[in-house]
Amino acid sequence: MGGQQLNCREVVDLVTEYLEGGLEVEERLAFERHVAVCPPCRGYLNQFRLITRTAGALREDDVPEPLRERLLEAFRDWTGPGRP
Amino acid sequence: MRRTLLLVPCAPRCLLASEVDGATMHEHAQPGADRASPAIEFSSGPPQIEEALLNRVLGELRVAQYAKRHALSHRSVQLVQPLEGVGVAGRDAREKLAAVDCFGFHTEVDPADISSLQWPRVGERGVAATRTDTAESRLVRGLKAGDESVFAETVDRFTPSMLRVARAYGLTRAGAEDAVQEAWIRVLSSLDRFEGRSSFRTWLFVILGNCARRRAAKEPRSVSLNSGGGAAEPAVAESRFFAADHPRWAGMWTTLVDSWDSIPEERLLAEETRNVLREAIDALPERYTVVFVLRDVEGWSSEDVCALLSLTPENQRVLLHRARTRIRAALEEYLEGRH
Repeated sequence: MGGQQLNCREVVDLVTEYLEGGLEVEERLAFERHVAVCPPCRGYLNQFRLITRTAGALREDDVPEPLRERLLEAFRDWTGPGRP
Repeated sequence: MRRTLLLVPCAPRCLLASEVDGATMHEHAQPGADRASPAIEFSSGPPQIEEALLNRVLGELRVAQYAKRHALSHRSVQLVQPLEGVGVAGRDAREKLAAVDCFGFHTEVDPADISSLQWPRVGERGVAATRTDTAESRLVRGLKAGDESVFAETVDRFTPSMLRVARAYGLTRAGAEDAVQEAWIRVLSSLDRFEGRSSFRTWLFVILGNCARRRAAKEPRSVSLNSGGGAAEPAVAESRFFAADHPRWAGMWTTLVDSWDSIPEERLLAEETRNVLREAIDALPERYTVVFVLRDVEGWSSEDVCALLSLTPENQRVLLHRARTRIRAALEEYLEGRH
């Protein structure tokens, strides 16, 4: 008992599992205990969080107009008189 | 004053925007009574505030984009972030919630009602699934009936993601557009065979994946020669850690690792940074890119990605971890000038 200990190398490998909720209770507690007292690992964890958030900002939500037109044309062809 | 609700995903420890003076954020404790998670004290400042700031900046960016796109006044779009369970990609809620008639992107809600809204929670798959089914059945019915406005709506909703995912298979912009067009044509011609056993979105992206892979096999690839082979690769350069037999600091960092909190938000979200991110994504082996784009860019849940790509959760986690590790390294190099 006394709690599992992790070193920084181990923590670094576990970051995604931790963020995904894939760690068992003991390991998760060990992870959080380590991160609480280790600034570089805290920094690393935060960097991973930032990747996830800024990746979402890559979404530009418009369909290029020429493509949109082609798709609508394809739909009209499909619904047209020749449709099986 | 009636407001338009704009739903924005958030990190596991989540915040609910309240209508009090329009800007106050409350922290809600993580649901899930079976996990006693110790609060982590950060020396650089309350984590909730830092997360709130980043969320707020990203949220404001989304609000501005959304308002512009729908020709709304910036002031009339209200940011709301749903409650989530631990360890689940917050963006998954967005898909589910977008399908819910009451709380869709275009709903106007009286501010006094915000705090009483019941968000479908992770784990309440029954509720979310039902509502997604309803919205999707409406789409499928409309498509089968040849309703062009429904098709246009479906195109607008899915095509931007389809383009990004097609590119994740290694296609050029033009190649991705062709793959997407081909996918839509196949979808229409096989519509009568779609029975709703999987979600429409999953079915759509299976078809897209097939089209994209076929095209990518024909297109010469000029990107990374690294096919992400079987050997486990170290997450970070060995030199950044003390050796396992070091008498005092075995396995510990040899260097500082910055949290990037001190990097101004404008720089994090700047076009140049996003370009670095895009290039880093493009340079990934295909197996990593597709998982990363679906999870972190598009916000799919782990379950949906596993279903689409026929991966176990563990496989998916490994691929995601490797993708994020490489992207982190590329971002670090750019943001800190470190090699």
